[in-house]
Amino acid sequence: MNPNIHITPEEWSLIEAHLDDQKVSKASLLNIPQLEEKIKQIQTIREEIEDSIRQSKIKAFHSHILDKKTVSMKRSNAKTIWYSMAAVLVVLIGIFWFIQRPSASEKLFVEHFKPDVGLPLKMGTTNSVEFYEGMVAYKQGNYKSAIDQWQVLLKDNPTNDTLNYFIGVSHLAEGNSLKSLQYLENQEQYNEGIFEEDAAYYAALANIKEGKFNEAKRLLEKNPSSRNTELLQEIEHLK
Amino acid sequence: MEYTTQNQMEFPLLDAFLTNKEAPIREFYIAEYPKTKRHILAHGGSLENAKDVFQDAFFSCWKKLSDGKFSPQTITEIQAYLFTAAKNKWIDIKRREGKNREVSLDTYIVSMAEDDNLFKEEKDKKEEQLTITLGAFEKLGRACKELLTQFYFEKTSLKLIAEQLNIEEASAKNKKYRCIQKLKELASELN
Repeated sequence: MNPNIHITPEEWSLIEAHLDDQKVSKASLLNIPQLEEKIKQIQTIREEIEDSIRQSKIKAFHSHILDKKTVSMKRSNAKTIWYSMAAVLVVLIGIFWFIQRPSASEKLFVEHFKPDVGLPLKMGTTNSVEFYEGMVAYKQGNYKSAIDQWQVLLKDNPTNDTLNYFIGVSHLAEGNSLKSLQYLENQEQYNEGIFEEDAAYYAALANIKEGKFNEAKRLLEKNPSSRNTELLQEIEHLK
Repeated sequence: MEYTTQNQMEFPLLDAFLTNKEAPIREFYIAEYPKTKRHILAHGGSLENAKDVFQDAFFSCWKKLSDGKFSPQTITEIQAYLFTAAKNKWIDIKRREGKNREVSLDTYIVSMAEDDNLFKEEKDKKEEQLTITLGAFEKLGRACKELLTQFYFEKTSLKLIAEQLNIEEASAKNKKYRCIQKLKELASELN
């Protein structure tokens, strides 16, 4: 997957239609600069996506297989193991709660927080100079400046998921978790969008930073993804 | 659906591989895994080895079938290909570990499965890239994963996807494009 050749949405559509043997105007197709390279890139990306899904399905198939060793162990020792684990767990929870409680949230936050990589810096992908400049600042780690740029746009588009998401992540990167929640926690504005699970992830991290583990759990459970589930499991382990 | 080796199932299974129909492929996976597991356990491997080797062989088999590079006439040929590919992969692993220098003696099926050993460098590079893309795909949000799976794997038309999402076809097309951009970003981050 080579991200260096930029392909616009219109080019992508035309080339895909051509690859799928749909009727495409030859003239429009030939007007595309670096046509051959772009066709090759789209073919590769399509193949890689299909292969990734295949591999992910194969991994899932295996969850339907119960290996005998696991089954027999579960049957013969299940009760003993369960009681031992429960006893150990009770002791561990007590010790862990006593020792770790003051710093557990901060530790978990630091381990997991990494600002979103941001959107590609191509003017073609956005029709707003302010958004582009904000994204440049964001990618350079100038979160305050990015927030200032985007806040102007947000006034006219208060429910825009992209703006809310990146402003929220920027506030979190600045260490302001409560402020970030104002932009990340409203799940309705992310509904069915591409930031839905990611917004829940960062909102959960902001809640973790505030010590609100139950709220973080609720968000992660409601919006499953591989990293959301991973974070959820870590919260479970803490408790 | 109960998996069966009866003749009437041969073409549906092949068709399932060619069109990515999940349920029959999963049944086939579950039915075929024990044979490879027994073989790996009997030849010095662990359950984890059996799982990895079988998944690797299963992926090669699925890919060869869908690319049209392997055109079996019967289900037995698919089973033989899968098992031989798994055996060869295990021999390869053991050979690399320096513990086993045996060479497979099977004939036709072996030579087909051993195509995998050709152009090894190119193949390794492709596998590495695929691991990156898979990692990026798994990090994608649920909405993007579903949309890309429907379009690229289940081959559902954009028109139908748009209807299911209750949006215009142009919006679905735009969403798909944004999902691919996100996937590319995640992949370049992992690269």
